Amino acid sequence: MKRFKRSIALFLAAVMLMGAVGCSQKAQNGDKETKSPETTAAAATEGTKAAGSEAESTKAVSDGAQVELLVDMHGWMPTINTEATEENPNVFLSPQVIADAFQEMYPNITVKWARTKPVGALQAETAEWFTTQINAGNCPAIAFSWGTQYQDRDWYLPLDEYLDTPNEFVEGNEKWRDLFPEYLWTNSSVADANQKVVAIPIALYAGPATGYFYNQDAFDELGLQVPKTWEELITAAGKLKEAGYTGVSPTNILPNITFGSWVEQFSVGPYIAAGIMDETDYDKDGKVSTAEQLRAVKAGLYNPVDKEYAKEFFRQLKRYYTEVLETGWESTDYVSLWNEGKVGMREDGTWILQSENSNKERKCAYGVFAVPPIQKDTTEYAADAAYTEAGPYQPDPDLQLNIMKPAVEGKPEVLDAAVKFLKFLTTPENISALVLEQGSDIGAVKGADVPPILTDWISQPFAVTPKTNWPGAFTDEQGLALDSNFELWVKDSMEDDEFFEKVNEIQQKGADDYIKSMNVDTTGW
Amino acid sequence: MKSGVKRKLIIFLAVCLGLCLIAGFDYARSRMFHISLVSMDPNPAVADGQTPVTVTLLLTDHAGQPVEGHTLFAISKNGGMFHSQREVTDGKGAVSFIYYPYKASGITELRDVCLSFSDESNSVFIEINTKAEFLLELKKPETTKTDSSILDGIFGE
Repeated sequence: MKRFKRSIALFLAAVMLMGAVGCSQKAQNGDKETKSPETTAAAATEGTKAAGSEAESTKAVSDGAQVELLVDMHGWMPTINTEATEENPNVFLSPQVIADAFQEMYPNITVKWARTKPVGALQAETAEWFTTQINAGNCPAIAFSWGTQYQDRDWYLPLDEYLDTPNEFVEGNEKWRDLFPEYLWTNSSVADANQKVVAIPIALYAGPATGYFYNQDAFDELGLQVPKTWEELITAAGKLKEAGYTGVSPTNILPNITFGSWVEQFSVGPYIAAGIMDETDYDKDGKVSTAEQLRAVKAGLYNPVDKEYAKEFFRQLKRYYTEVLETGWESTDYVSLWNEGKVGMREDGTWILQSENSNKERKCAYGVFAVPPIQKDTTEYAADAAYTEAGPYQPDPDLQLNIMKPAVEGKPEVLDAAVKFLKFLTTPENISALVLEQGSDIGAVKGADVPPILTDWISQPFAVTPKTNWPGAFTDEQGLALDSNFELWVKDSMEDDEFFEKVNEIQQKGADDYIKSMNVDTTGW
Repeated sequence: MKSGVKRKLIIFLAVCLGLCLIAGFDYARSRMFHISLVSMDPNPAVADGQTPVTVTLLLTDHAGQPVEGHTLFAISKNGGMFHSQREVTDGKGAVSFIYYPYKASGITELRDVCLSFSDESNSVFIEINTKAEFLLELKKPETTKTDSSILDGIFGE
């Protein structure tokens, strides 16, 4: 009905415009004039002032020469619209407020937003965008690229030397890195394979990145408990299916069969990989770095040809597509089914909490539970999970920003501006402003506020995710090969033995290419 | 004027008239309902990004009778966040929203916020909704941080 109404409204507007009989300029829908990001910048910050700008005199970088700083914050870019309306209620202004405050302090720096990026695209398409921008000389100096995703392309500036300098925007700070929790500096999306920090964490997932939204009415009807393990989730999905519900609806972010499903990333991968940490954690520091993964791949520790636990890992990933999801899931509209109360569990991100709270079309009560880990009730190869009393433990970064080498090489003034802007962005006050407005993430610096909408979510116990995961294929090229072979295998178009051989070939090739491109020191392997 | 052109013009005008009629109907219908403020608690509220404000509204019809089952949509025009942007009126025509103010800080000056509510259920053909706006006064937090709002324990340090 809503769509029908909108269609009529659009048609009406079109007819009135054509007939020149309307008064669209003063229509109820308000001002639809498109404004450039630059013109809206001032409007966005009306009523705000620079942090510390009154206390501090204006400063300059590079002897006051004009510097243009192109910034990409991916899904955290400020919106063009500056005031929420019924038609366009999503407004996100804090990055612009922070940028304005920064520019007030440094009048010779102009912060511009890189708005042409295909936010929502997967890694391969995003890599194409970066390549195009680099070739055209438009690469953002500060950019989001999943932290270390493209480290083999040599796009990232190592940041350790800057992290050891004070953040001048935080009183008493001696080293910028001290503002952040220590565990982040060895996170694989922050430090590259050579353990050089190449990304600055801004925001963290509120626990695991994803959870299961479940139909409380259906659970009550069938007497189901919230699943605590991967096996319990599969069992619950089966009971829901028998009762006529969709057991689990998949995220619409990954619409095809892929190796790197959320089940691989959060339920299965970390716990089976943790089962062999005695062997893969070569330096015994409690975490498996990318370099250690590479070494373990070369040592054959992840090889499914002859390692039964590796075979088991892949079999569990296959179960997700063959036992948990239903036939035809790729083309099913689960949003309608969920709203009709016909979906038992819905795989989704914690970022939809507010929109789900606001969803009055849903005909069932709902709850959310954290991703359940694979445990010994499925396979002996899974490591035992530890749980927190309440709240997540050392969550991974959701937003981390790189300084892009192609944008700053030979341009010290741009590099200087980029470092200063990142330092300003990562004061606890500014990180708090970002996460409080965004609402579903936790700040990556100590002392930042937690959005109140997360209160219920973070009061539950969470599995302490092991500091390891099952490696993929290391490079984009081999990643595509792994995905296509995995899909053939899941669809029973490839035999187990052939698939396991292919996986090993792909991982070996990917590791070799990666070691070469990253110049990884293999001495002593 | 050729008869074909005249016919097209008549059809065009008839379509326009029809659409104006249904728009007029929805507009008139939107005037039949009224959203009034029952309470905002606390008021003034604390601009700390954490302390919830309960906003209770009443939806009535042209006769002043409470209206049940209408979905109201809430937005804050200048900062802060609703726990849920949609709520449905109960048998007494009442509905409550939980609103979290923005956090006043060095980069965001203290200002009052305009909370806007619209009745998404009143229109039949097109989206012309009954609307109401209310100003919420905000005051600066006494302290800059509250223990419950900070979770450094998750960092394991």
